[in-house]
Amino acid sequence: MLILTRRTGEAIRIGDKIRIVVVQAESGKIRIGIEGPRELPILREELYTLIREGNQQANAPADITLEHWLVEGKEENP
Amino acid sequence: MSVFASRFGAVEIPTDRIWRCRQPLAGFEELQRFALIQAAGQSPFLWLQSLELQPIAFLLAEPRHFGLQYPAPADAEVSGLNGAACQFLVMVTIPENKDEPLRPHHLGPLCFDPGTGEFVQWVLEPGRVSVSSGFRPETGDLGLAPSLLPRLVRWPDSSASPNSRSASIAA
Repeated sequence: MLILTRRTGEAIRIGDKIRIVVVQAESGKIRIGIEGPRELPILREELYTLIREGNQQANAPADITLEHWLVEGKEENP
Repeated sequence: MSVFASRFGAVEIPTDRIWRCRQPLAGFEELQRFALIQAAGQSPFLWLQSLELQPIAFLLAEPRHFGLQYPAPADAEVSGLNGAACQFLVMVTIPENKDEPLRPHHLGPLCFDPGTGEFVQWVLEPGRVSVSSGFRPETGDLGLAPSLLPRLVRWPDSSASPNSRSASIAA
């Protein structure tokens, strides 16, 4: 992992399209600003992890059955 | 193209019904091409079948079956797709215990743009979307946008020859 030291107002660049600025740093919290292409997905890591875990749970095994939740089944057995 | 899917067996996927994932799905970054499969008798669900890894298939449903509603996203939020034209579908997790409810992946609805044949997962902060009110399937049609229908793959394919249909079911 590359580790850099920056002060408030200073920035780093990733490639030529992404710029990360330290906006504020105090009390153990850092506010950062990110400039980059509007279509670039930027997520807090905990949200990314939540999404990834949800995706993995939604990958249904081939042998799973749906009968319990099908509309047709509900109509036949209300 | 013909693919063999673990769940469906051999399935013929016309090239104009292949969906491209515009931004990698978290946890499945290597997958780009998918088919939306409407399996007979499985309303209100659809399957998002990977065309690159046959065991990978996500169960999808329209958000309204879970009481979920999403605002139209800005185009930039869905990686430049036409947010106003998007059809939203949510991934659904099937619990191992039938007494537990189906769980929609409500923070990451999939946005399908029939105009481009591409989709992305729109990730929302928890405060931007309501919590599911539970699975309450609405009967009738799937409620899908008419523009999406030509891009669905029906299974089994009733237009296929008897031999190929039998092969699909038996596989």
